[in-house]
Amino acid sequence: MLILFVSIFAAFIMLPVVAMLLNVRSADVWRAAQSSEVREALLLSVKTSLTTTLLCSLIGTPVAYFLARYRFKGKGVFDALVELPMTLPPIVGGVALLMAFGRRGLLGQAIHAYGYDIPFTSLAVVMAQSFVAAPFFIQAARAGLEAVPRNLEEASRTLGASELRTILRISLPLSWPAFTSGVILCWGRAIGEFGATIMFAGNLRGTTRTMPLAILTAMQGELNAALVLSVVLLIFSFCVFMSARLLLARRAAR
Amino acid sequence: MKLTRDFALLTVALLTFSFFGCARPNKTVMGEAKPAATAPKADTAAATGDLTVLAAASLSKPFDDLGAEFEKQNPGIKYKGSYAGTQELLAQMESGAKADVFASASEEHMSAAVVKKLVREPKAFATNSLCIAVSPHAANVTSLKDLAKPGVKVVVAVEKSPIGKYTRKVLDKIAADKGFGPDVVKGIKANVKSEETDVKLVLSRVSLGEADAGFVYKSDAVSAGDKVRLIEIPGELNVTASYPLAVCATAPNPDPAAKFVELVLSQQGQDILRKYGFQPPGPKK
Repeated sequence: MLILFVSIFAAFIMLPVVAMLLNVRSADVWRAAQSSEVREALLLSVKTSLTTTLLCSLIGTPVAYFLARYRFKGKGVFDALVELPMTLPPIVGGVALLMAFGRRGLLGQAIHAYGYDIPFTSLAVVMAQSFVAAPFFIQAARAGLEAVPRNLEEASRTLGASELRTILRISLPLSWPAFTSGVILCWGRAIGEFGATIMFAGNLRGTTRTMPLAILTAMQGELNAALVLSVVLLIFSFCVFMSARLLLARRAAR
Repeated sequence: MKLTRDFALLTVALLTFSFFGCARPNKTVMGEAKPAATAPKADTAAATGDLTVLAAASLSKPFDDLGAEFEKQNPGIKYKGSYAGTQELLAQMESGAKADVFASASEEHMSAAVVKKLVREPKAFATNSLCIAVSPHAANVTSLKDLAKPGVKVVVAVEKSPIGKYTRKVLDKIAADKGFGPDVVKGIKANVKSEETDVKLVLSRVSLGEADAGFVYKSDAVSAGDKVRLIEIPGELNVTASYPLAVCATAPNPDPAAKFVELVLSQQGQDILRKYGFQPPGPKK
């Protein structure tokens, strides 16, 4: 019975991937991967998604700790706010970012007065990715922290360790697997980000055209070119995912 | 427009989420919607007497009016307009999307559809020309030359779209013109901040004030009203965009489709198009 459900799910996920791979020639994929336009898009995707993941981990960790450990009035609302970008269509997220940080946006107007505009820059790409991907990291990290036995933390505090020291020596190491899965989820969501990016950052080669946007742009000509690019991204992401998982598995085994 | 965007989004989402064994439930629902997106409205169109019209993004406003008029004249038939870049519509038809009428913003894309046997007997029904839409906030942009000034933010459409092709033709003419020359075009190209998939997106970047100026059809600038200012492109530097439409080869509802084409070509249809800044079809070349 279990196997039946697993096979249904595996087929559902695998069939589209296999269908896509069957529809492209490996020579085309190889040639596309070497073209300068694709390299630029891939490089931009890697740079922006890594920056996003780093930012989300840095800022998201304290937020996750805060959500896991503190109770306060209106926490339910704050919880919902953190999860909001997950339920929002990314295009709506992009529009919201424009309303806030665009040249005529709430905060964007003030930034514009200082002579800087965020839309149409690589920073805008990172912001769009962060908006969409941060909740994935925060939720995973928070779940990990909530699973840490409180008596261990209390013991550490009783023995004289500060809160920060307790976090660094007890809470974080114990929730390490949850954090790494959060990082992977966050990175995956960032590198696949499309809707918020195209709305907020625009679509220009080298500056804002990440792989998903390059795929959309290629789709304007012929579906096959877009398929080839999709396979390039697929192979790339798969390799990164697999190596990350293997690396983490080895670390966990030690 | 929405359909294509969703389709692209789904492709990307599916791609990335293929790897997440633990994808969120809502993403799984999105994944399931994919087969429906590739073959939209295939069954419902024939069963309920819908008229599905795929039309270039620039036609959205007059075609909504034409659709309402068509519903009035043909009770029981529901008009369903789907607007996007012509090149996106063509790709949808190629991958099996069922539609009754296809209206293109360029003869080139229509010819491609004829060659691929997707449509029958196209008829030219309108022409359009290009102009520059300028944000009301961009006080420093008052002439074509101003687009080349450093710091001006310009938006164009992707090269594969009709408006993108026309835009590049106009830029070539500007480069060859004695009054402007290649340096002006070089300056304009350096100011391009984004390439959009259809003309309405170019227009919205400008009307939102994120970009200072964009190359659009005159009809778009006219129907945008006071949301944008308009800079004319002189006749000798401009191009004529010719719009053909045709009944689709596999139209689920061929008779209403033919009637719709008639309506667009009729005086009443032409008046609606004129209201939105479109010009009458030119003489046959």
